[in-house]
Amino acid sequence: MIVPMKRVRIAALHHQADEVISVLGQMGVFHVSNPGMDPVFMFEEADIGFISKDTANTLAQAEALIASISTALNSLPPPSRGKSRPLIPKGPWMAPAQRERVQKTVDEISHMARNMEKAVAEQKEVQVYREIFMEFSGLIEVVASSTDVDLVGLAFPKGGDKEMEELEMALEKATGGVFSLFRSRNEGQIKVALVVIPISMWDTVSRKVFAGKIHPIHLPERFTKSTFASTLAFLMERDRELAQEVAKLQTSLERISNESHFILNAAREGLIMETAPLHAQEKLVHTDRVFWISGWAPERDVEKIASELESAIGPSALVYATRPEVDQWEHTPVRLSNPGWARPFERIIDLYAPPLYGSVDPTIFLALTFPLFFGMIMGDVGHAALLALVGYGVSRIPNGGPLATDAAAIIYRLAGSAAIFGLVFGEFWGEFAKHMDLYTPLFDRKHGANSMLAMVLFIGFFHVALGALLGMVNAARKRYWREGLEKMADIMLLVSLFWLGWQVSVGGVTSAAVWTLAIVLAIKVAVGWSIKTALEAPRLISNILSYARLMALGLAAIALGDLANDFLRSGMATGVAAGVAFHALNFVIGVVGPIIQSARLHYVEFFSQFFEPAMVRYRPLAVYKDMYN
Amino acid sequence: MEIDVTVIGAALAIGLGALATGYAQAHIGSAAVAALVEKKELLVAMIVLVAIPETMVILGFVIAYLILQ
Repeated sequence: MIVPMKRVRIAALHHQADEVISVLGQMGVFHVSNPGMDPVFMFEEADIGFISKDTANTLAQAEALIASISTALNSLPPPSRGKSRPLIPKGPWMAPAQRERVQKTVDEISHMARNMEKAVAEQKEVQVYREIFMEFSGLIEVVASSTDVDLVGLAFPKGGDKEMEELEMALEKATGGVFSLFRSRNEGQIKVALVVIPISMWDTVSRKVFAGKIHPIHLPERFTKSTFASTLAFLMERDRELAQEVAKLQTSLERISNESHFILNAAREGLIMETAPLHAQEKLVHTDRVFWISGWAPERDVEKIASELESAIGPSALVYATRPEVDQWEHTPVRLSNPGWARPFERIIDLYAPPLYGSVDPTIFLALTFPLFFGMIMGDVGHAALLALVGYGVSRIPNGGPLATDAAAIIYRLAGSAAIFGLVFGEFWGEFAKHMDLYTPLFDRKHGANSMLAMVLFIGFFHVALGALLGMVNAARKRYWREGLEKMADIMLLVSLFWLGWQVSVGGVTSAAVWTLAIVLAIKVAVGWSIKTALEAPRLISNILSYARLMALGLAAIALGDLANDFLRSGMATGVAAGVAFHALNFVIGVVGPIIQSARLHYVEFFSQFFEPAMVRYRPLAVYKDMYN
Repeated sequence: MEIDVTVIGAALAIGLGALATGYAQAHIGSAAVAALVEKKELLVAMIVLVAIPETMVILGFVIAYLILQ
């Protein structure tokens, strides 16, 4: 499997750079990457700083919440004295559940505050009209029945005597004295007046007097009833209702204040405290007082890096780690981690290229099929024994290190597989054992080549189909659904080809098999949106036929072994020497050939179905400890 | 004199396959060596590339074998 990685950015004070590097070098798990490949440092995302887009969104939401808490607190009356503080929940306030709870309270307060505001505004309005109606009730009744004069209500703030004087002068000038001004005796918050003017002068007065700072008040339609008496009654009733409504809302706000004032205050303080480091993180990229380094580390080591840095340089080190998104997989370094029995075969994968981060690691499959293919080609107990000796020699190479250990492990597996197949085929230095009547093979591949060919093609079919299946898995992991469908169509194509091939070999092709192949090809073309995808069929056939080498190379080795044995049987010294030389040559060819051909079957036929090479190998920054010895 | 055409067919199958493989490998091999001088890490890829044309002679061998059966 591929070790899960995290992109890690480390920031510390500038003078701590050496210590940070030293800690990372000692740990040997941090892969330093090109900052140009880090989205945080790329121009288009530089405003995000050392925080992810998600965290940036959370931060923006938290800031909005802080603002709305402040507004809500301003709308609340202070909590009653002597009330015990409610139990204040602990942070983190940035947690979604906490934010949601606080937001709910804030929304409730805002809703009430809005209602309160509306009720108070309406109450003021109603009071103004009510005062006018009550003050000038007689006058309004008289004017309302007249068709020659118009009535305009005016409102002035308390102490608006000066404005009223100015109004009187302006009316005098505009109407030539044809008007009446009635002042209220009321000493309330506002002062009202009524102006009675002839209807014919309305336009002049409106233009010259009311276009300035004095605005006439008109009774809104909703307050206008059929008669003066009913309008006044309505206004008085509405005033009472609004007073009750305001009192009710006030009581509710007081209740909420007692319940939530302290909690909201704590939430606001908590959110400010929690967002402060994120604000600082945002700015880290833009300052030269901070040293930062960007790279990758195995997910399991990230916490250890943070704790080691904290113990080395204190809390000023900031470790910010994120999981790579699909679009960053190609820049993510790859480290393989497989069970011990399969681990040596990681080197064969590595010779080609490590798999792309996030894709399937084929090491386990290769650890099974590579020795299988090798053994099927070599299939000789004598060669296997000699190969095991070579493996032993490799394991004993002085200072061979892990490479020699892994090479020896691979060689032992190959020798084991070759020995098992050697026993099955009854081959010991070619057909030496059979000629000496020492052993009867379970399966004679020389004389059963047709069966052997069918078997290797069958194996090839499964191997290629396995590759297509892994291709489907890779496509699904990347959410490339169309590519996944194409791989599924490949598997269907393989099955239909296999069915048709089987019928051809037994000599009874049915129309069902032909139609199935045609339908699958049509599906493949439809999924791939191109007629070219139908050419996949010959490619898949060629991939499967390529496994014929498992049979062919083995037969060639038998032929060379037979030749060597013929020389040996001659009994002459030169014949024996030639026989030994041919066996040695056959052994070398029998080792090199199967290794290359097994590798090729994996690299070309198998990998072409699914494998995507990684761009970056995991190479952590590490101190070479031996230099101190 | 009777000529067994199956033998000729088998010889052509493996012979032409071997010639084609040899021709392809000669060109790929020389290009591979030139590439390896520039970039040693291509060794494995080059070995695989050189091995690819072997399919022709191997399939030729299989066909020859099947003809002679």
